[in-house]
Amino acid sequence: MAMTGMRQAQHRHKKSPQKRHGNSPAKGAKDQKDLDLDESSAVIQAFRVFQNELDNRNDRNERIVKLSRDITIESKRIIFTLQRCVGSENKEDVLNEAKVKFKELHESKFFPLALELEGQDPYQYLKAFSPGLQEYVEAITFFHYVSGGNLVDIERVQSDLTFPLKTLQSSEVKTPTQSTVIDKEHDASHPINDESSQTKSQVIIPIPPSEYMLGVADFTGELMRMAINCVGARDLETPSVVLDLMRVINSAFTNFGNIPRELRQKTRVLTQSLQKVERACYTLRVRGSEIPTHMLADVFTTAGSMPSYNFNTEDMDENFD
Amino acid sequence: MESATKIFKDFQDYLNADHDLREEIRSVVRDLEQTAREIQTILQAIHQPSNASNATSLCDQATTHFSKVREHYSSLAAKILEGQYYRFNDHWKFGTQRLVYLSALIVYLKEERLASREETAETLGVKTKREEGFHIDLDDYLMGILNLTSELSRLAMNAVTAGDYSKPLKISKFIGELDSGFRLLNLKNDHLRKRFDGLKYDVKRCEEVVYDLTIRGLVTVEPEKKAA
Repeated sequence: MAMTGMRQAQHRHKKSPQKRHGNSPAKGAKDQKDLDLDESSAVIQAFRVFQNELDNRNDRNERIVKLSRDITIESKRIIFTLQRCVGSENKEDVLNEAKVKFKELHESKFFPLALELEGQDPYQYLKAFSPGLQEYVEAITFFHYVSGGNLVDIERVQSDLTFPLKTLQSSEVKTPTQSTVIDKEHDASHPINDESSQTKSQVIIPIPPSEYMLGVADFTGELMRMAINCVGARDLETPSVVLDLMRVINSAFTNFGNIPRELRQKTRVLTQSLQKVERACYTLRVRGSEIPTHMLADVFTTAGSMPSYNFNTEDMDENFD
Repeated sequence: MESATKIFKDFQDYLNADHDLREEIRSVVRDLEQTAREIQTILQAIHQPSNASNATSLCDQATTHFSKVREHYSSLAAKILEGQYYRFNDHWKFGTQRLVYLSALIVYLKEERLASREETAETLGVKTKREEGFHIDLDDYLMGILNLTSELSRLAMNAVTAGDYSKPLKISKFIGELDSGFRLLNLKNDHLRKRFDGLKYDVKRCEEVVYDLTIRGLVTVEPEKKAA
């Protein structure tokens, strides 16, 4: 039964196109020509131009999204690396490892991204690279905090994402993958872009201040994790130092006026993380005297997990990006 | 911590400046949309049977208002720094789409053809290309043209009511041509795509009008127009 059914179906499939061709060859072809392929029509000619423009824009957008995704993944890895600093004997080694990873990230992802944005309105593609950029700001802010104890300013972050075109040539020689990216860029883009990139001495990924601040907001999540981890590593000093910075950031965020919606949401998360660390410090003070230090870590991982419920859901959202 | 204070103060300054600029943009866009509504009101009269013959004078009347449109756009353009068009684009998107539609409607009523992006930009007093400055975004131009097709399919019906049987045929052919034009575009799953999905109903409505006229012998369709 099933076999015959299948055969019949196959038979029908084979037959139907022939039938269509046989039935109305002239009319079908003519309709196609009149409606779809009248290249002499002004409308069609105009739409050919639009087609080309839209395709170029969508392709560029797609490439930027891909780079952004790679940047997000790599930035998350760097953040994990940096979290290992806590309680580590050789902090310098971890920092150096992070430094190498950042350099690699700049060369292999941000530089091609800067080339994609060169000669464009970066805000047109901001949605495409914003997730990666924010994650990167989070990572680099965390890195500077761990190595220097300060909040890094936007100018410093921006300078890392500014590429003089001399390194363009040298890195072209160094890594063949990049030179292919550049070739593609030249093929795809308008001649105007080529001219401007020749006259310009540098290419940059402009960081809109709100993107930077959103990254800083995420960075406070890492501070919280770090503070909790510190306790696990029996470091009882760091949480209160971390808390200072979190309080500064939190009070600044809650005082912002004219704040964009996205940032307001992150401010709520920040306040929650802050309270979580405060609670940990409280527990440390109250129970520190009665519990041996090696057991305190367990107290925090359980005590901390309850109020953090909202934070975790937020974090999951982030991972879906 | 001092450096942190400066960082946050700078950011607050940035937020305030951003907010103020957006307020200014909003106020210009309000005027722009007001003018667009005035033009719209004038052009709505084309659907009145009594005005069927003097569409040209309505168009001329509407055209005079475009000088105001150009003024609004030039004051808007003066507020936007180079390379920041798409930062604020959302504010004037809808106004621009409507004005594209209105100016393209005028061109169609007068000359029965599609207004090119270049001449639409000129009517609005903006540039065609992003590289040249304050321009029409391609999506906004295409959205405007899609709004035009809805309006024309409505006009096709009302023309019949007014006793004009030849106009629906021309409109149907024109919309058919636009439809095949839009089919060339590889649209992403965005707002333009959704709006384009509505175009087939405009095509259908026009075809039905032509069908009604043809089957009753109210028009004689010449052989080469059969395809449309």
